[in-house]
Amino acid sequence: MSTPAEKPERVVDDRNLREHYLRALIDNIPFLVWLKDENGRLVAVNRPFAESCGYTSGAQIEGLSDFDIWPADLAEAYRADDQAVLTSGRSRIVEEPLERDGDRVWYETYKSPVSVNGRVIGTVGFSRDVTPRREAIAELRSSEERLRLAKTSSNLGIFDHDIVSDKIIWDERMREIWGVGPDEPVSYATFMDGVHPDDRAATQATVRKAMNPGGSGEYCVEYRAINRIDGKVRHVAVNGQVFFEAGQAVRLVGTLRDISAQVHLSRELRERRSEMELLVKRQVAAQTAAAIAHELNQPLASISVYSEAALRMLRDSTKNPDPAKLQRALEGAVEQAQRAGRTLHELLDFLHKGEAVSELVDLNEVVCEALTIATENGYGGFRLLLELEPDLPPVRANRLQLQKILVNLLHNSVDAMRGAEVPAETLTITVQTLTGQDMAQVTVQDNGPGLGAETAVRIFEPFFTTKPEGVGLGLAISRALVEAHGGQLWIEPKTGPGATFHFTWPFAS
Amino acid sequence: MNGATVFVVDDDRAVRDSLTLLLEQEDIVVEVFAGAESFLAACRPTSKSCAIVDLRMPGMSGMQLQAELSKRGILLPLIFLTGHGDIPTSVRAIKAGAVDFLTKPIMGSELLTSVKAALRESERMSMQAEASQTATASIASLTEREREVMALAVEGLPNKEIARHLGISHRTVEIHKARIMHKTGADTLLDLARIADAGGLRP
Repeated sequence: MSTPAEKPERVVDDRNLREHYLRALIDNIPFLVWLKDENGRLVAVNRPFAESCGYTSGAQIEGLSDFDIWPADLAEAYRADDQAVLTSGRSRIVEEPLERDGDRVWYETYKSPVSVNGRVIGTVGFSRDVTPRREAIAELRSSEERLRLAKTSSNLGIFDHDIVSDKIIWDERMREIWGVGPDEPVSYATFMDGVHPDDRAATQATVRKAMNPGGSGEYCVEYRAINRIDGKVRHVAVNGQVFFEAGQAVRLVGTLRDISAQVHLSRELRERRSEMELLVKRQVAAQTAAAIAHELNQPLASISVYSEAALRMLRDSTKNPDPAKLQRALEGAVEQAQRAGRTLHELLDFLHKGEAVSELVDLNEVVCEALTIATENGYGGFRLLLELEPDLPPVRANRLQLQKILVNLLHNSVDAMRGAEVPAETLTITVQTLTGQDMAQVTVQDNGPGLGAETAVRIFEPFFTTKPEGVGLGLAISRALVEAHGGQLWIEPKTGPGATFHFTWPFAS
Repeated sequence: MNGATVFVVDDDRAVRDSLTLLLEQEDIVVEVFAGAESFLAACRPTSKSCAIVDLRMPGMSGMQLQAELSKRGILLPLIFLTGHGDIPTSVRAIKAGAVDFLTKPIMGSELLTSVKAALRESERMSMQAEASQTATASIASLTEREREVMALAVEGLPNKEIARHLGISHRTVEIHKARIMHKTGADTLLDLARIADAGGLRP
């Protein structure tokens, strides 16, 4: 049963409750909410608003104006906005700064006029913090800017292929290379049309392989792209990644780089290298010719003088020719002619072997063969220290040519040791891998008298010999042959006693 | 070519031997050496001698031999032999006083022409050396005053001038001059000038 007195109380209670509900509602809106009268005085605010300016409840700031709460410049700006809303009677959305804990943060604010019976009596506002959004946008902008700069400076093109719908997004660079307009749609067919016909099959195969769900999705290929407008051909290198969904390739994203300059450069280098090889070959030929000329010139000089001497003896009318001298001259001429012949044969021998095909050769084996040959030639009988590196990779060479080079070195060393009558003739031969290089190094060291500084400098000259009867093949030819195969032949300066010759030979790749 | 000696310096035995036969046919005495070092050790140039030297030899080269001879003050015309015509080297050799530079194979007639020229050069050099030696000796036999008088006389100064120059009497100059002519064996003033030149007399 209710008393009449209770009823008004219930009305009050009801109203109170409603008020509470409304308060709870606006206090829990995650925006700042406020209501101002036409003079800019705050009539009602929600809790977030109060908290944003350092109060705990809305009641504390009701009746205050923006100038009581905010720094003057901000209050000024808010007031102007309010004024604009009041004057126009229209809502306004502004992004404006707000001060919080001494920092300016950004809020997006909706302001609307509030009217009672058609008369504008104030403004209502909602405001939310948009600082994270603004920061994200700024970050995105600068990251886009960085990407653009990176792309421009590296001249990269970027593509994004939606495999399912066959739509490709190309950036300006890609479109520039293909000669495709900025708004033209791009599909796999557009892309493939611009690939050089000779490179299409290989490129398609690479794409297929990358799309294989069993693989890594890595897409890496080089091909020639042709501009469909001006026909310009570019060498490009592409790096991309295929993405899979439910075991299906759905997207291929990647970058494309114009490598035309590098390709041209490396082609030029290749051409220059073969030119160099030709030059080396010519040099070998020239040195060989020079060696032949020298080896033949010596005996020819003697033959010529012997013959002239004989002729003069016969022509001299004042005295009878001395038969003994005449015989000496003719015998000398014959002997020298034979010497010339021997030289020629040996040189030709060497040259013919030089033209033979090369094969994979085990250097250790060839060293042993050369030692056998030298011994058979009568150049044996020395103490031998042999240091062969086991499991040496093979070299590409002509076996007989390599033998000849080694035999030549062995003969030289033995001659030197014998000439100096060394008591215990010792020859050290080392075969080893040259550290850090794909090359073998062969070292032949004797314990003979060694070479004087001047001889060491001149010993490789095609015209140089220390042997009075020097029919032997010049070191010049050996060196030329070694160099023609990409190695080097040299004498170690001043490491006595004895002479030390080294030569290098690249391993077969 | 009586009394002529040619030294052959070449490391090739056949070249030495054939050159010996060729030169001996011309009545030239030939001495052979297998290297520059052995030649330097034994070399005794005569008043009519020259050397045929191979440019490239093991050890000391032909050019080095030329330099060494000049260093030792040995006057000996050289003919170089070379296997290949190396122009810069030949120019250097000729500038350093080589008589000739021949390329192997050599022609006998060419070589003999060079040898003859070299021997003539040798004779000229030894005569010059002899004249200079005699002149130096006779200048050395003069007194200090006589040398002063001689120097002014060969300059073409008359006796009166010489007397005034040295502050002595005209008569004294005449006595000095007579002694100078006697001691040097010169007959005329021209002879005296030649002796002064060969003996290196400076006023």
